[in-house]
Amino acid sequence: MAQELAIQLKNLSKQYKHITAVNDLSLTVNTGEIFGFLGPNGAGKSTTIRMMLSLITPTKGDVIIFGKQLAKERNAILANIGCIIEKPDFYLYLSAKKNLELFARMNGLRPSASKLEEMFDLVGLAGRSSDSVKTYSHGMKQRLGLAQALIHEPALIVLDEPTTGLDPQGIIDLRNLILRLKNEFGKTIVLSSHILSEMELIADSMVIINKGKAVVQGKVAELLSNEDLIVRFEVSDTERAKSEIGFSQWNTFFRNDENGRLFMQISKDEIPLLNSFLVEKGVSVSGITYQRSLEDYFLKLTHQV
Amino acid sequence: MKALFQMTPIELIKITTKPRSYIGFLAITVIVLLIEFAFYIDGKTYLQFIMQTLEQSFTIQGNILNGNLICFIILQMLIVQMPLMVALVTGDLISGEAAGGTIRLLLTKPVSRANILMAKYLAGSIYTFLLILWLGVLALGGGYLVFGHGDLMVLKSEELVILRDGDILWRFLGAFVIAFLSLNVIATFSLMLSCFTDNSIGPIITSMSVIILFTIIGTIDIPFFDQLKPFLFTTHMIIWRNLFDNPLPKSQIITSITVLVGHIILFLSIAFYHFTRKDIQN
Repeated sequence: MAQELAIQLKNLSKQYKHITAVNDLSLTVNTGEIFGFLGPNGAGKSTTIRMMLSLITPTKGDVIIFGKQLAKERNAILANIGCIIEKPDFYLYLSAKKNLELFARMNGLRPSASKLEEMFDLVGLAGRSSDSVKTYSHGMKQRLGLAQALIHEPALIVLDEPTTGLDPQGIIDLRNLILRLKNEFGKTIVLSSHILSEMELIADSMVIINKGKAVVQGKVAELLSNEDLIVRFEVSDTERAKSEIGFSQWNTFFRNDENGRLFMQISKDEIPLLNSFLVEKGVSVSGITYQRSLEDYFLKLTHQV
Repeated sequence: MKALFQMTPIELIKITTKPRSYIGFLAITVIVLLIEFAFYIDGKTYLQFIMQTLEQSFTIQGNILNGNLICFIILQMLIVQMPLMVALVTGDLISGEAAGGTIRLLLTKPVSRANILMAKYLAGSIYTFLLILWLGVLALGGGYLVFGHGDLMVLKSEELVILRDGDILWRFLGAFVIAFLSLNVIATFSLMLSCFTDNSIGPIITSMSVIILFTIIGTIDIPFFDQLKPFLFTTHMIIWRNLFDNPLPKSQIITSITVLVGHIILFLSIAFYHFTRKDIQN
């Protein structure tokens, strides 16, 4: 059975006088998946997301969410969406709790005090609900933004650059929360980012856009599986390893640093093969880490447009 | 309609929790109490000086310095300042959301933009009404309390109008209604400007600049300006004074009320047209 579509963008375009921000963009997002929206700054990610949320009117094309056309059933669609657009801004003169209550009321809810506290617990702001938002750090505002996006229990959550300005722990917490929302609550989540490695960790599908056009779209695992990675091998004998590799099929690229670590540009599938090869040749491997060659991948795709 | 009932209290909460919303109330309180105090101390001497020429032709008996006169004087003085107090709040209703970034969340809620704007207009109108009500309580209530009742003498450029004490209260109520309409024109004007910008200062300053410009045009007797005057809302904002004429210039008052309501509809229509089509890019 075909999976139900959460979002369909059909030939979406936005033209500003002489600038085409989004150009004939079409894509689909399945329900229950985490969908990544990737692209360099100015690629049209935010404009597209804003068109999906009725903040910007498309010049051409359709936005269909859960089978309903945004142009015709805006309020019914928005009732089922929770979002954070760029940085989470709130009424600074109000407490976090009052802010959350007001945004819930805008969704037609009258949340009880316990429901509000439950939301503060969920996003890790327990005990800070009475504080003025003015005293909140960026990370705390981001968490409050999530509480605001979740309080009306929407089926679709749209997060535009949610990790911007977060510290490493904040990014991990957010990632875990997003995964929990998908796995435990079955939410569909759309994330935008310009960081590919972030998407790789949590997204099921993704689209990369550049100059308002989709460059590539598909399952993250499939799109990235054939891409080369920069893999770091920590070996017992660097010189020997270099020599063995020099006569092998992997002799096209390698370099080492002063700490005796080898850096190889190979595909993910080749990592265990190379590891076995080195061990067979009597070189002990004490550590393997890899880093996706994000910039290369990104540039390779975006320059195709 | 349900969305409007849902959004208007939210907008009122935003207004009432902003410190700037109390500047108007504070200013009115200080100004009115100051005027009443000054008249309480020196009012009789001041009036004697004003009435010197009149007393050569008339015999004046009774309590001239009364609550009615004080309220009339206060209205005359404050009606010029109150637009600033109103614009300070209503000029911020949309642009404040844009400047603070909250407009992005506000406009992704399941409420139409038309309802959001209407709720903001209603909340701004309620705020304006409360300002006028507070002015009424202090000026008229405080005036009666401190200076008592009495006939009202209104000195106009060409005539002296004397109104009986029992014939005045309804005129003040009418004057406050017209003052409310006048300030509502300012509220919608600044709300309209607020839709076009992302900072709050612009609509407030522009509103005041337009009022000053129109008032200057209204006071200069040049034939070209005379042709413009009937179309300027500031010309009709002072019509409340005609309620203290005897007989009442009904058609003039009705015309002015129509022009003021027309301006409210015009400004609201422009605001609706722009706001419901505006792309939120900030």
